Amino acid sequence: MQLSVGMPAPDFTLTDKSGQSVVLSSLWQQGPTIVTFLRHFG
Amino acid sequence: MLAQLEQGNEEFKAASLQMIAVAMGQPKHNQQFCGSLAPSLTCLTHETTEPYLTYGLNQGKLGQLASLNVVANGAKAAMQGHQGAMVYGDVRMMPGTFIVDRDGNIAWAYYSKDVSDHPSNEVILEAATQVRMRTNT
Repeated sequence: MQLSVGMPAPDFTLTDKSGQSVVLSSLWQQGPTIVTFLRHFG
Repeated sequence: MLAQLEQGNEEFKAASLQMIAVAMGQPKHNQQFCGSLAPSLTCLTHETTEPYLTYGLNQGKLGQLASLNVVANGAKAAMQGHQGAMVYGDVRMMPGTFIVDRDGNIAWAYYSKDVSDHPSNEVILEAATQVRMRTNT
């Protein structure tokens, strides 16, 4: 199901370059965040 | 795509926006590709398709994976010097871009029409401006 404006953004724990866990909500709590999903890095 | 986002990151920061690039992979892939192509970006990985699916990003259909537009955009990127990508996980997953507000709500959503379709930095910045006007933030 596609997400619409106003819906809660799903929160996830992802991994950064150094292998540390990063919770998405910890980022957007700092301010508006653009989350772009890529098919691959490149 | 990473190079495009890297080029726009100063403008994103100036607009008080954080840019997060998510891809399937492991930290070593992140270091290898994001570290060299987009050192100023926050790049994050997940080893599964779960985040994509939860954000409503599904596997592309044949026409979204291998259309003339996809081939043309791939050729254009190659001519601009963009090199091969790190492919990990399910390459059929469709890309997408979202602006999430401070309260954790979706403020803007862009579902790519095919795997080569990404909003330009200008489109993202304009969307963020519209969001700010709408929410008065």
